[in-house]
Amino acid sequence: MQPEYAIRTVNLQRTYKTKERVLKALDGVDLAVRPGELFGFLGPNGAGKTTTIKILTTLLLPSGGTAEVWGFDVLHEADAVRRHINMVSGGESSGYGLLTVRENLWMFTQFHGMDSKVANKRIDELLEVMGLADRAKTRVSFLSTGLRQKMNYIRGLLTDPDVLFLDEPTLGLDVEAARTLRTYTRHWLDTNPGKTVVLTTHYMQEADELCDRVAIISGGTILACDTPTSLKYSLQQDVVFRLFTTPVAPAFLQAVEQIAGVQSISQRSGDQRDELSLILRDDAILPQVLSQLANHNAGLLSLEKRQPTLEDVFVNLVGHSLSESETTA
Amino acid sequence: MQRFLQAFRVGAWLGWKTESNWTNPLFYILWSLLLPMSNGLIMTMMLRVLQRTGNASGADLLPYVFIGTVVYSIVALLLDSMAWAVLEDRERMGMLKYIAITPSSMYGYLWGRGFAKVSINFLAVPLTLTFGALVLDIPIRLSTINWPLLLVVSLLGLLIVTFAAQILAGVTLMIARHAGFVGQAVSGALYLFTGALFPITVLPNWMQAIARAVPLTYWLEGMRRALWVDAQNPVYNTGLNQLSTSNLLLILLGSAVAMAVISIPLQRRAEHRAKEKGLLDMNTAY
Ligand SMILES: Nc1ncnc2c1ncn2[C@@H]1O[C@H](COP(=O)(O)OP(=O)(O)OP(=O)(O)O)[C@@H](O)[C@H]1O
Ligand SMILES: [Mg+2]
Repeated sequence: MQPEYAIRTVNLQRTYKTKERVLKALDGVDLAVRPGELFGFLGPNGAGKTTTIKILTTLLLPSGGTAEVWGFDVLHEADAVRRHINMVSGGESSGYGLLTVRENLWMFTQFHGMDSKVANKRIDELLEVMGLADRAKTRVSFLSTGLRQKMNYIRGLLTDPDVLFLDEPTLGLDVEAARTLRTYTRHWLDTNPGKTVVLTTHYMQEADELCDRVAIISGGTILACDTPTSLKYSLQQDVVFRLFTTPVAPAFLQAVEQIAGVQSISQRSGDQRDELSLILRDDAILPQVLSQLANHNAGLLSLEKRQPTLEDVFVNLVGHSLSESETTA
Repeated sequence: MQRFLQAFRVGAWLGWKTESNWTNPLFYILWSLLLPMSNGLIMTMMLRVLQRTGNASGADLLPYVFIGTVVYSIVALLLDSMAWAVLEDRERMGMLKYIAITPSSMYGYLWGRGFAKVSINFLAVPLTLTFGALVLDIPIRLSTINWPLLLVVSLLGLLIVTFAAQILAGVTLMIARHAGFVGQAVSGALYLFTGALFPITVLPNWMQAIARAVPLTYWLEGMRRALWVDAQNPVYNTGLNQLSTSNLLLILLGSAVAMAVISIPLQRRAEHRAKEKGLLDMNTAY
């Protein structure tokens, strides 16, 4: 039996109190995710993605508002929620080092009261999918971080959860492993109607290609929430340029932001040259930008008008690109 | 109940797998004997030296000390076991959160870990006692052991220590920093306050009062009475000679119930606090 919503939050709040200050990590998050969706969270560091997932997986209490997972309240019906969920977080090297890969995985099926035979069969299948079959009997302490992460992903799928939370699952995986994980996640959803995945990521492309819907979150609030296509369409009236220039100073960026009709500008510094993404209300504003470039003694290397990407949507909403926030974080 | 047993089974399995990391049985037996044996021996030697140099009161405290330290060694292990499991799973393995999000019972899991610890090391106690009887001439004889008393007292004692261990695990769960000290500090302090090493009558009055309030004091006394016919002889001035064995059993039973009544809501409270503060996936990385 499927609930109407796999996830539903209303005005979800969370504050962290430390000695120095009180930090509002979530400030009124409203979510409605349907069964069967692959729902993505996109946001800079500290946006509140992990905090949201921790609340939804019953690891953390909200400070205000309500949250339901598979129709059950995370606060009052935590046990019921736990019967329907599983979670994998990337970028960590968890696992019992003295146990083998198989033992680690088997152990978690037992917490869910799964039949051992069924569990072992599933373990074999998933080890095969993730290319870990030959490591089944290896002690986890001998696995590299990436291999442990693959094991962790298997642990998440093993119990066949109704809602699977993936917190940056591809962080630290090599390109091929990341692709396998993405493909299998999609396959799992397609072959098991009603299963729901909530994924956080820093990779635009991952969000764009994989997710049915994406919520862009920053500073604990959701700035936009829609399908990647619709999000990009929201920029359709605007024009997006990509410029390569000789290195530019921050003063140039500030000057450009002042120009009326400039939606946003973001900079990615490269070797001897900068890549600028420019979102304008209108083509006609471009000359003003170029004259600023000359004013700041920088040269234009190339200029290209292009289709808006999810990254542009992000920059437009958050005010800076994800890669900028990475480097400044 | 089924959830408890399920989790208990997993906890016990994991404990056995990770803590009984031996390759051959002989090695295991030697290894598990090491702690109680060395404790017993150190105490014995210290006592011998003291008795030679100091004023001999006439009473040989050796059986008292020997039984106390050997039995206490299992107390220390069990007492610390669940807090240790919380700490290890949370900080070193990063697995506590993954256990916490399963529909299983955290108590059951922790009890399983405690059970594994006790059962792995349990054999060491009778073996060390036998060693004491044969080599150190401790007056423990198969024919004079009060078996029914031994059984009842052991069970009640283990129950009390298990609940105490669960309380420590709860406290550890609520503490972010330096949580590693909790178990050790408590088991160290109890060494002093339970008459494991010396009769509580040697303590100043206020410390004696504490010792009399600690259930484990009565457990060790009960174990001595079960194992050693002369345990209640007034010459030893243990401070508990006057207490009848039936009253001692009542105290133990009452303590077990009281500990249960305290520890169960406390564990629930601890889990709630940990969720409030976001400590289930803490990583202090000291
Ligand atoms: N236990 C904690 N105590 C205090 N502050 C915390 C705690 N956990 C998170 N925060 C703060 O809450 C905010 C949101 O953190 P959160 O981990 O949810 O971000 P995120 O979106 O997952 O970021 P990232 O992309 O870096 O993983 C951050 O400012 C973070 O510093
Ligand atoms: Mg995060």
